[in-house]
Amino acid sequence: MSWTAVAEKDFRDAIRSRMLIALTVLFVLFAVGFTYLFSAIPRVLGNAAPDTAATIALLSALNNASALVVPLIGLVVGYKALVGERASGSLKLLLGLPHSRRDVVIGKLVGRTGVVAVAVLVGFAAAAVAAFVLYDSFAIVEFATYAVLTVLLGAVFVAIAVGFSAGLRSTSWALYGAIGLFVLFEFVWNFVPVVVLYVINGFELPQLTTTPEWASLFALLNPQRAYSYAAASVIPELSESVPTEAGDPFYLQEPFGFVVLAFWLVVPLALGYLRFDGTDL
Amino acid sequence: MHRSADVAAIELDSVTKRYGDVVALRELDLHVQEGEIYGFLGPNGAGKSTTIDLLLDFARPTAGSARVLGHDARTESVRVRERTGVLPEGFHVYDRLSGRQHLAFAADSKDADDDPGRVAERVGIADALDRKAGGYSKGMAQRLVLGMALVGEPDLLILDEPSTGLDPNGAREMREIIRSERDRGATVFFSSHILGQVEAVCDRVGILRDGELVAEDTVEGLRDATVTEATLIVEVDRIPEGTLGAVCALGDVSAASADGTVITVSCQNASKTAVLSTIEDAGASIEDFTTRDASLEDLFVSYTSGAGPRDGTREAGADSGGARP
Repeated sequence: MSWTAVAEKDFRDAIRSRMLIALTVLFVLFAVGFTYLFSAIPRVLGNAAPDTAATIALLSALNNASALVVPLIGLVVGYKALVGERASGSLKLLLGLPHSRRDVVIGKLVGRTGVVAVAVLVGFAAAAVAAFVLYDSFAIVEFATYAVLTVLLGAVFVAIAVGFSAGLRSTSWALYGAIGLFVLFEFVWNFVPVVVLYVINGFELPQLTTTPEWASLFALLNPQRAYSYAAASVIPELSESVPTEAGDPFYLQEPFGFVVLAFWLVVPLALGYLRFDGTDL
Repeated sequence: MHRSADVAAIELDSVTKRYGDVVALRELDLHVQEGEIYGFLGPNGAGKSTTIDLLLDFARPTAGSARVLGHDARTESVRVRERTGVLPEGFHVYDRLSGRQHLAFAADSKDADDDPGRVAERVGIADALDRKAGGYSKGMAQRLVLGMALVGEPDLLILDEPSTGLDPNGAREMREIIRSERDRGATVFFSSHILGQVEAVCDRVGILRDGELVAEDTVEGLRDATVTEATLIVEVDRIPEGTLGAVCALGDVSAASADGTVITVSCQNASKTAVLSTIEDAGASIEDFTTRDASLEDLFVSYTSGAGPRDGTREAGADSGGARP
């Protein structure tokens, strides 16, 4: 159980990083800004939203902000976790103590996820305070559930980044890997099915009434999309934000988002660990 | 010197370590007894840190096996490190954590309940305990990590170049700590490229060169070996070809080298006359000569830079004479 010592040490260390403070501030601004905006919009439109609807609308909007900012925070917090210690030489202190390399990797994941959790929860807490002040009512349970799910999304990206950090020997390559992945999920992934459809349709955009199953599944494999599915599965009011139908196979249902998140939480980290475990420091 | 229970704290069996084409260790055998202070000597690049990396599973051997405190260094590394205090080489402290947090982390990791304050006092950083370690000098960082190594009363201390960054006073304190740890019952294995640090404190010394152990003895044993050795410095008018070869061929000569018209020969005291006449027979005329008894330092230098008396190789290089690291 020595990963707990590593996690605790790592949390203490990383929480003092200036980059984290900057990202937390950024996230707080995002969250509070959206909260304010959504309190203003109904008044502008003249139809005050009923009870939970305002919170749900806020969450739908926060979803976009979180899906952009939280992965970024996770990757930034995680990419140096091991490769940075390897480059500086503090890894020799860490592994001179009785920690297995597996405990080091797990401890890093947990410690840095804790750091991301602080940033996310501070942001959500600030948004909650703003919502209390600005809204007539506020659905605290849904909001808290959503905050926890957002921490999970952060953990997924920390895990991916720690996986790179464990498997690569150079800090810059770990950074390129993390940035590359972010760009892939954020800007490239969702176009892939479109491009494939375009190509197989003889270089013409098909007129589809429904999205083919494989295209939906592919889209769902993006952890950011999986996060929306997972959120919709535990907060029913959010189900309009994902294109699921009652008759869809299980792998296109909302709870499958959790499976996808679990995949991204475990697989890159495991690959990075195996590579780390097999090499000389 | 040797404990009655002949238990090995460190046992390397024919260990080879290759990095690509570079052979860092060549079929190294090494046995360190429990309860002794073992000085691991050698010039930079001889393979000392590689050996330590293998003991701690920082690196894996290409061939051979290593056991530490009775455990396989590869498969039971955590067990090894539970009972070992480590001061690695080329480490870096956690800049954002205080000295106290470092020591608490070490105690936490080893399941020990050492008081950081007391450890800090012992290694001389009590004043800086609550400062961030990023602001420590090299010497203070060295002391901090020594403190981390001492946490939990380890059975074995592995110290890689422990005097790095320490002033003479710090180096003396380091030696005192090493002695008191040995007196407590711990085995101490430490590496150095400086003989002076080793001879003052070690029970036994091993000298590593190019990945091979070229000598291993007690400090007294090494010193005894040097008493009968002398260094002969001979000035000649010229050095005809084959002179050094002829000198080296003499039975009691361990090393010979030349620099300009000065020939330096390490040999048994009794063979000095034979050396001089061999030089004259080769066609050189002797203008002057001096002798001095070899110091341990000379011996170390001859082991680590040229031919070692015990490994049988002899050096007759015409321009490597008298090289000091």
